[in-house]
Amino acid sequence: MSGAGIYVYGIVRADHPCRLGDLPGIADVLAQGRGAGVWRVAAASTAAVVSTAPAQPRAKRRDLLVHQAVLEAVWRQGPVLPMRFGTLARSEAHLRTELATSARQHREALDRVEGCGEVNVKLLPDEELLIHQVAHADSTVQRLIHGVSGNYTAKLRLGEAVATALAERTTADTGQIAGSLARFAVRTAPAPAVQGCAMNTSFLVNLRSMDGFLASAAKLEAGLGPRYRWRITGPMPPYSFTRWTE
Amino acid sequence: MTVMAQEAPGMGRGSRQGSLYDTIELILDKGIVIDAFVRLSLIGIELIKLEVRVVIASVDTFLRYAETISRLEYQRATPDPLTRLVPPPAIERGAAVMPDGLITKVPAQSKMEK
Repeated sequence: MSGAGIYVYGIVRADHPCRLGDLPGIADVLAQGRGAGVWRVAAASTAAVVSTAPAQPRAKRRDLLVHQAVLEAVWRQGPVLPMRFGTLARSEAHLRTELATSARQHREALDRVEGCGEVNVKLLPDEELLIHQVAHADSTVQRLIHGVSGNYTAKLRLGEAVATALAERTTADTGQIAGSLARFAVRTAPAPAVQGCAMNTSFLVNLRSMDGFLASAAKLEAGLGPRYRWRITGPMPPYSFTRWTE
Repeated sequence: MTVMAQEAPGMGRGSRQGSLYDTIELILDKGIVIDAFVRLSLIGIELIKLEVRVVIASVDTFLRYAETISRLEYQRATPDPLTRLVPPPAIERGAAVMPDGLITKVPAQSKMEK
């Protein structure tokens, strides 16, 4: 059973309640609830939330969902530092040594995310609508539109002007949005680039400021109209805020 | 402090649309990394990531790109007489980035004409 190692979900304080009931661990889904579940391994004022590692060496979609569900449940009961998905420790002893070594850093990081949740905001531009708006507002584009005949070079210049105006517009919009939302957040972190997103940013928001944050997002969305599609996810465990230097 | 208790204010708010789709890149790329620990193989996960990008960027965009690139490939495979007359070295020197066949065709079918 321990041959495959121990799957680590996240790090909490040693006094975290961790009441997870029958919540299945990553290896339990196939065992249909008869697995060992999720437990804690404590060392030096911190603890790791762990379970048996999956039997198969390759991660599956259901593993992602279990990882997410466990962290969500733990986070609802107290601060947690999520591990990156797929982290395995060789043994409990090995894990304890590691926890003891970094206990102080983890405590500090836990203090920083206490009472907070991560909210991820993605903005997907409606390019056609934006091109339309930009074409009417940008003087260079206007000038070039009238100069375009069947000439290839003229078309290229127009295309370039549209691309530039488009980039300027989205940069200005997303800058304004990120700035306004940051006022309700403890911290901001860029999220990994996602195809088609003009902005993909995570905010660490104190749960007491959550209403203000979401109301501000709703207001900004209404103000900008249909040129962006918004995807707001959270609050959730602070995946992007485990390290303060990032 | 018990701010994070079950009924903490603000915890249940917000949108949870497409939960895994919107968090997968955070789960896979963020979070604590401990060098001494091993990582599960993520080979199968690449496919899920592609699926996620399709959902987020909307299927339309991807299909449009696919259609555009197939059209260009088709044109490359069956160049019209005019394209064939242009000596390849001239094309490469003039517009190194573009695959041959693009130069005469793209502007003629560009969306900007509409």
